[in-house]
Amino acid sequence: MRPDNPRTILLPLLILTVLSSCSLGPKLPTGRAYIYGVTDYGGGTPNIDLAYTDDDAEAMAALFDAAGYITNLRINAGDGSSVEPATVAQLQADIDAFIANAMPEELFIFYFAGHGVGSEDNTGDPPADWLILHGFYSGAPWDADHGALSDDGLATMLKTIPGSRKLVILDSCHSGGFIGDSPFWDPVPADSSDESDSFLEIFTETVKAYWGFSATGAEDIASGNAFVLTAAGEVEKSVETAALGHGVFTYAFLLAAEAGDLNQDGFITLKESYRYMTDNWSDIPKTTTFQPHLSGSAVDLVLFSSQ
Amino acid sequence: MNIRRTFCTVSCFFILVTTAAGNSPAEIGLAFLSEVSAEGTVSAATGFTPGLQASGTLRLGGSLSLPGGFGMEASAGLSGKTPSFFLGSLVYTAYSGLFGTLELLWQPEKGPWGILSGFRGDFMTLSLTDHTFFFPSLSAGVCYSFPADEDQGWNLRLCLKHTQHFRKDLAFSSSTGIGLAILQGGGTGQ
Repeated sequence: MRPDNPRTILLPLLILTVLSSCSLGPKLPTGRAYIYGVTDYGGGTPNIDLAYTDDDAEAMAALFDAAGYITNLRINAGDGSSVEPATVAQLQADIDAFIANAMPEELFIFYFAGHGVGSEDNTGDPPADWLILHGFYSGAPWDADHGALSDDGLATMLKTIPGSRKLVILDSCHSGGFIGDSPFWDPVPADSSDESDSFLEIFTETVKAYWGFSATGAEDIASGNAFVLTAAGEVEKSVETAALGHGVFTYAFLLAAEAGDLNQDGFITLKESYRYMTDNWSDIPKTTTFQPHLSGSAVDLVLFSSQ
Repeated sequence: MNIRRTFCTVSCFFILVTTAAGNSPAEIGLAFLSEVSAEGTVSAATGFTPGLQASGTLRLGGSLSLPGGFGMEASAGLSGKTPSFFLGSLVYTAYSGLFGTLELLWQPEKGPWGILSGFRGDFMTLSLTDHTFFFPSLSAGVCYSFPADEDQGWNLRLCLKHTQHFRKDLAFSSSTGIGLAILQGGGTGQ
């Protein structure tokens, strides 16, 4: 029997076509990871070299490489094994290369393990939070030419990358200061040892965050520019320990990338990683009161497969 | 769209209608309102594929019937939204929390059909990160009230509603849903 109207056949076919074209579950993104770790700061006086940030970077590079990302390792380990210099100039070159070569929808990832300096601890003008890359030395001017990359400076570099698929992971002191303006209110204070706010205070701060937010006037790495995951609050330290052979935050992130599939769907998202780290902090040696911070966003990114 | 100007315009409309209705010498009544509803929400973050999320809400409030077939309703409730689906490596995060509404219902000739418009404010918490956020919304819809049982003192109302959310973190967000309400008392607008 032939249907009277061809649409009775075409409509189900159209619906089937649309449904089959949809991805019926999560899938891994394609992306490029730029992994920076600075151990050797040149041996100046005072000596500010770190012990495990090169190991952090190598472990993170191995993680992203195994997950299928195009991975670029930049370390100054101080033992002659430098691959590429972990400098501000190299970061700019990497961003330029990403813009030139990346396919649409590719995820840009920047990871940094090294020193961070808070705005209250430096003489920058105006005061800022800083990442200290290779090339910085004691007494050097606070600028990108001398290895000091400010929060606004990094935000400006990231803005040149089209789109919003950008992730910044910082294992450094005061790194929470890189999380910029957003209409979300972070329940974890800049100093996590502070007392929790009351419900009324949280509500008031949340409403103020909404009405006070303007995307055009946003500072630091603003919501919409990039996702930012940090080891510490704006006024907190990030630490590394000999027992772990890593920075505590990076160690926790590596664990989350293995065991952070909280909803058991076979994939680990950025927010699942964050949640795993905060909920399982008791399994990770407590050396101080700091805890990770994540920028607020309605969107979450699939990062790893748990299978 | 200028959010402040839109809210100002709608607020003036509310004040005008309620003032006009309040000057009429007809009877005013109050009813207790409870409603469950289901919604689908389409959201789009700048630079990302739009996502579809489902949500359920439960709200309680009061309905003040006014002359001329008007009814003013205020309510508060709970809302929860699922993660998005069909988006590959991207997920719109689930969230839940509290919301409040202030709505105006007009039922011409006090018949079963009515149109509804109002404000909504959501105070929500993102799952996994616990970030809190607020956003205002404007809603409009059509309602059908089943004939009141005057002996029992309650009636049912079915509403199809569209809500435009003014989210500063998203380029676009709007919801469409259906709600079933029970109104108990003398102010059902009938």
